[in-house]
Amino acid sequence: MMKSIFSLFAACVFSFTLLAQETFPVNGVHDKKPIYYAFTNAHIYKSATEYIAKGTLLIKEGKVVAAGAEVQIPAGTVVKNCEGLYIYPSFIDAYAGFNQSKKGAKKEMVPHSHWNPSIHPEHQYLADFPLDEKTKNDWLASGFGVANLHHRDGIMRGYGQLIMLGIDQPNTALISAKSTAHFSFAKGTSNIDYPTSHIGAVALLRQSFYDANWYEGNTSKTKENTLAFAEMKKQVSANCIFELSNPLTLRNVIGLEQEFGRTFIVKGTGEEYLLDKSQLEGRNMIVPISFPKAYDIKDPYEARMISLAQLKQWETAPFNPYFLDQNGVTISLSRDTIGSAKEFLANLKQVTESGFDHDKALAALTTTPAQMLKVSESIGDLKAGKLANFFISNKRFDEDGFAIAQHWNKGQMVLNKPLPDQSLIGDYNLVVNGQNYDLKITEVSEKAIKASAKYKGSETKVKTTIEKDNDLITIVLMSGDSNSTLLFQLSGKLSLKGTVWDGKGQDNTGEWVTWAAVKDRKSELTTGKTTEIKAEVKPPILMKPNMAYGVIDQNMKNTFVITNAKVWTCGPDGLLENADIYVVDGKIKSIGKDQMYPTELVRINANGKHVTPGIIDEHSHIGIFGGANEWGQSSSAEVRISDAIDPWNINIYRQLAGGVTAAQLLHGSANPIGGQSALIELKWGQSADEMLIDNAPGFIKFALGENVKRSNSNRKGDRFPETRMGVEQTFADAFIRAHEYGAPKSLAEDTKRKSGDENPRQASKRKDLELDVLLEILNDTRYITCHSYVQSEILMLMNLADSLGFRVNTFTHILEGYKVANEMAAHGANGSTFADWWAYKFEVNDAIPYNAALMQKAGVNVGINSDDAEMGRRLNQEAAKTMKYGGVSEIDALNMITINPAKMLHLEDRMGSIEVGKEANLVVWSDHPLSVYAHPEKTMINGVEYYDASKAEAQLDMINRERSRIIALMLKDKSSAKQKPKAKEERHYECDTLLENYWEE
Amino acid sequence: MKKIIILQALFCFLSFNLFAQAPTPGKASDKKILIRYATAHIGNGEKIDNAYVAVQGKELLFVMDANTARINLAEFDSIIDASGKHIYPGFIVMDSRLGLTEIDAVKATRDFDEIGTYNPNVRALPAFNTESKIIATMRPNGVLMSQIAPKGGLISGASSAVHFDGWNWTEATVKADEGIYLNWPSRYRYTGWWVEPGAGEINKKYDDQITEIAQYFAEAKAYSGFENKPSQNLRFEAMNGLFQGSKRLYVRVSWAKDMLDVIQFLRASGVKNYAIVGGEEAHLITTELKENKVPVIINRVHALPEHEDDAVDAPYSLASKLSTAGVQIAFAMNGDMEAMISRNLPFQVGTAVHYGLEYEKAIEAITLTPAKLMGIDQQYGSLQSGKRATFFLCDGDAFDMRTNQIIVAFIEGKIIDLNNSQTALYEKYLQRIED
Repeated sequence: MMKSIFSLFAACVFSFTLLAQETFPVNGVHDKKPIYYAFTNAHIYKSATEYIAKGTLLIKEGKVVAAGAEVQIPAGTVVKNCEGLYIYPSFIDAYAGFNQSKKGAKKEMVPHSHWNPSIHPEHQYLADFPLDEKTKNDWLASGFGVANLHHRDGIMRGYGQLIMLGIDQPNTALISAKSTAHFSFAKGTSNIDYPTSHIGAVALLRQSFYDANWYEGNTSKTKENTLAFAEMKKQVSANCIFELSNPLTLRNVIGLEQEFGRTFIVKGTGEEYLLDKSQLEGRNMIVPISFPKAYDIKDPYEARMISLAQLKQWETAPFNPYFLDQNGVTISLSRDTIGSAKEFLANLKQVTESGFDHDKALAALTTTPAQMLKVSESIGDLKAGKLANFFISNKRFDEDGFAIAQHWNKGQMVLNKPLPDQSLIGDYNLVVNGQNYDLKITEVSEKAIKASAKYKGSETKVKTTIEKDNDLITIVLMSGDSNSTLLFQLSGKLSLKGTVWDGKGQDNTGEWVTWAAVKDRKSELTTGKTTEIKAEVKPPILMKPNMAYGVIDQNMKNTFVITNAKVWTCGPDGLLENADIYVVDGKIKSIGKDQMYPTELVRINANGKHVTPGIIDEHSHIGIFGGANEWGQSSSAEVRISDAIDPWNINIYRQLAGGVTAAQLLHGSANPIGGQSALIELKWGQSADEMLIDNAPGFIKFALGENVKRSNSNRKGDRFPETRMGVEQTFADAFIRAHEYGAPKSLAEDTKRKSGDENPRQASKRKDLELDVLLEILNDTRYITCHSYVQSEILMLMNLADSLGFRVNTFTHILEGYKVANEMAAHGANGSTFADWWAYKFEVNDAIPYNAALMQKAGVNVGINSDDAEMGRRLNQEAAKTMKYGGVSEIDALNMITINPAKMLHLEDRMGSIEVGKEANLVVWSDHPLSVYAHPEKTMINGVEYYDASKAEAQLDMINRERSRIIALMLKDKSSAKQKPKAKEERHYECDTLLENYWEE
Repeated sequence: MKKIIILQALFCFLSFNLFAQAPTPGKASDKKILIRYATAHIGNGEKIDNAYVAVQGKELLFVMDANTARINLAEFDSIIDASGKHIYPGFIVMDSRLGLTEIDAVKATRDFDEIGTYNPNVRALPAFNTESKIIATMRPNGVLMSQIAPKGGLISGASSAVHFDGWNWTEATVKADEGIYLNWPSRYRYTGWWVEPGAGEINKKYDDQITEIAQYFAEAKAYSGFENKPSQNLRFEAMNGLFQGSKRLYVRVSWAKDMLDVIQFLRASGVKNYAIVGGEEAHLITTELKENKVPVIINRVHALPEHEDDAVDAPYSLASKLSTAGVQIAFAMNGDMEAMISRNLPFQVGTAVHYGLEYEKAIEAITLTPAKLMGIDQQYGSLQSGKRATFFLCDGDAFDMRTNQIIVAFIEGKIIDLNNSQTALYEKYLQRIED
């Protein structure tokens, strides 16, 4: 029986602790204990795949000797009968989230460190021993005997440390000192601005890895002696763990793996079920199981603050391991930052009920993390020779009422938590001083024993308080009336295991009496609980994206004909009445009238409708996570918006509904040289990679004026430039550096050779991601889109470009473009502007709505852009304003949002007009596309219909039904504390990301 | 028929200085002008397809159906043939900071947000700058009047009705201090911006804040009951009109549940007239709004839906939903860049029309309804004889960007100059390009 094991072992536990300290001097007589411990008759999970129904675990001096059904028990063994109990190998948390003291944290720049304080791969995490007693015991009680800890701060965080949690001496507790190397995209407590954004973090990682490669080949010559780079190289073969900021950042990790030939174990966020199999398959992942709490949404108005995405997240989160497993991920489960053992075990049980069963979960908590951390030879199962790390529980961890009684680390009992003695429950005949009572014990928990009593044969109640201390029991009886008169104070012992209690007591006059209680055997039989059989929970259906307007099965059909439409070709054919557009495999095959088509061809009758090319928004910031501005430096050419595409942003769908099919996602305008643009097609429901336009030309954002000189920012005086004078110098300096960077090394090397330098090859060129990009501009392989307002700065940049040998492809905003339109035309610059914005800051005081018309008149290729998620969904109206302001023709106005921006983006051979051979990016309009009374009925990209206005009602209905279904589940949920409605989750951003709110980027 | 003016020649007839900064106010004239054969959108939900609209002095002499009316053409000094054109009463934008700001990012030009929580005594009117270059750009789009309103604090201050022609604010005033603006606290708040929406926030102080507001109104009402005041309280003085019915309370509020709180609170507050401004979720409580006769001043049709799950066109169709349910509506342009963007009022309302708002009701919502809310409908807001001649003649449909070409506009019977600093720059640089 289970009771004995606890009482006997408790005494010997702590004498063990000094044993293993072989190198430590002993104060007194040595106390080596070469004895065995045998745990017999237990359900043993020898490993995740080996279950022994009734077996013995034999251990000696910290290691497993044997585990099996037929284990010989040698002489010198303490035998413990574990009948009815379970023995599991200790859980291993590869990413435990505690012991985060700042001790050893890198606080300031030290020699040998990287210039950026968020990069400190050389840092060694040292656990803070002894571990906090309460935390340690809580982790042991949740099954974890081994934890991998690291300092969760910075982008390259340094080494983690694998320790046994129950042991207080660092050298004994340690399994591996440099068990893992850690990476993230969160800059943490670093005291300098850069990187301010996710895109900056990716760029910093890339540059650092390149630097490490360069450093290796140049150690003898370089003036730098940076320990960080040496450690980076060493870590190629280490267990590298990359913590994601959000599921989308897995894409960046894959990018780093491919670029640098590294492999990372990925620590997920718990929402990786949102990702595609192609990204997940074959990957090692550490998966946290903290789930969002149910929302308190009793009030239907308040419920509106919770999006379907949040509701679905709540419903789907427990299925994350299931979905990842289905997609071929090797999973280690982690307690991560879950605050209590209780919550972890409840969540673990939920996981096992959500398609990831007991055996899978066990592997994910034992053998898999051991393999991932490459410590399988010592931990992860209970095979002979392994460290004796295990726990003893009353049940399987997927059963109700599971509790851990003992936890052993390295053969030492490190947690002893007697389980409440459930055998007490039952009906008793209690006799006190000759008086008979019916005593009922109904519930035994850690905190209290619930009991009630009555006089035998009567309904008169007696108040009963019972406390148990090991095998001794105390009972207080008081009258059941309002007076609560004391009747008896009783103390006794267990006489016959579990059935008879007897002893002595005093009545309310102080007289000593005798008492006994005998358990009714019948009641024992009837109290046995039947295990509840739960209906299997089906995994929720995942939409793409998993939110409102998500798609379940995108119809990818892209061959059809649109008939009888009024076609605005935006090409040489101009406006065609009653024309057909025949699309085959996503491309325009023919345009004309009365042609013969295959009989089974899908026909879209557009009689009375207008068809235009998809709108192209030259200036957009939708669907970017983690900051659109890397403003930490005045040049951030190295950052790429393509690293931060959020394909799950609702504004992508909303713009589709406005007829937009392609957009340039631009870096913000916080610095003169911003980052590289991403050119995307708004393929709602597809991944970021699928949205990015294949082989799109490279673009970069430049910016001039008030934003870059931070005129309207609260931060002042800490970053060059602060004037338009300084802006010019920033560009001049950057391009001169780029020229030198790109120039052949010969001159410098010749000099060295002559001076007798024995190994000039050593001074090989350091790859500079920023200068690489500027060099692309000089080599005409990357185009500039420059945020600009006033004529002086526009002229400055064109003059500088002419003198330094590059061209400004596009001036965007360009609200004073009309003042220098002739010069722009001569330079060959495009102008992408707003229809009528002005007066929001000083530099737009001379902005006029006639700007587009005037620039066009001067021969500039003009576009109308949005720079705003709201305006982006009705760019047709904005284009129409050029008719009011300046008398632009209908066709020219429409061109300003189709073919003209396509030309600016050098995509005009693929999109922007309805011409044979071009991509079928089409919009079917309900009316004249420039009318205020028109809306897109269908929006197609490469012939695939991504938006259909006629489905709006059904979609809304589906959204509402899904919402109601999940809200009903949530209102039923009593498992956890509820959280008050939060309008939006933080999924799409990092808290470390600073963002300057330039509201008109 | 020397008196009949063809439209092309109209601008020769009007002698305006093209390169004016803010144009010179119109000149009063006692001449009789007739505009005939245009479609007249009256402003009260009706229209006359073939109308006579006559102006003399400050007033509209008459507005009649040309098919039936008999008039004596000889009486008129000028006759404008406007067949195929449209006449609208001057559009009115509510809750506006026009004239109270010039450059949003320059603090020195921002005169709409006063320090303090309860500022009922703070008045928008004396800060109203008739020399504003922004105001001059409203007129060529048909926006001829506005309600200018302070924006800050809980009680922002007093709003006034103004028109867009006058040498100074006293001349531009239509009705001084006609309302008080209250910013109702919100239970929830979205953080971040559209590029990166932030986590939502619950306003834990909401209950305290509305208790405080209720207390303030109770005190103001008690004060209004004095026959002989022991001492003067400027703030409470300004509140008096709310309880006497001479001022309207305008409550900026967005969420359905918060609006229900507003309705409950105002029912017992003693405030006689009020309106909701914003009301992004008003479509959820149309029954309550109608029962309590609460007008809603819709804020910006061209907006993103409030919630991710909302219909894509939710802000576009709000006006139609309210109007169909019988809720009285008007429009405001509150928010980022609102001053300059107010000239897009007609196009925003045009979008609402496309999403179901009946055309003449849409006209009413930016003419007669706002005039009624501000208590100036006796003289403004519609094309009716005896009212002030504040209207414009448009080449086509004023709600459509393509056809919103204004031929002539009148404010208080004066023909106004439609040029402004932007047209001046246009002319100037057009020459440079053409040369």
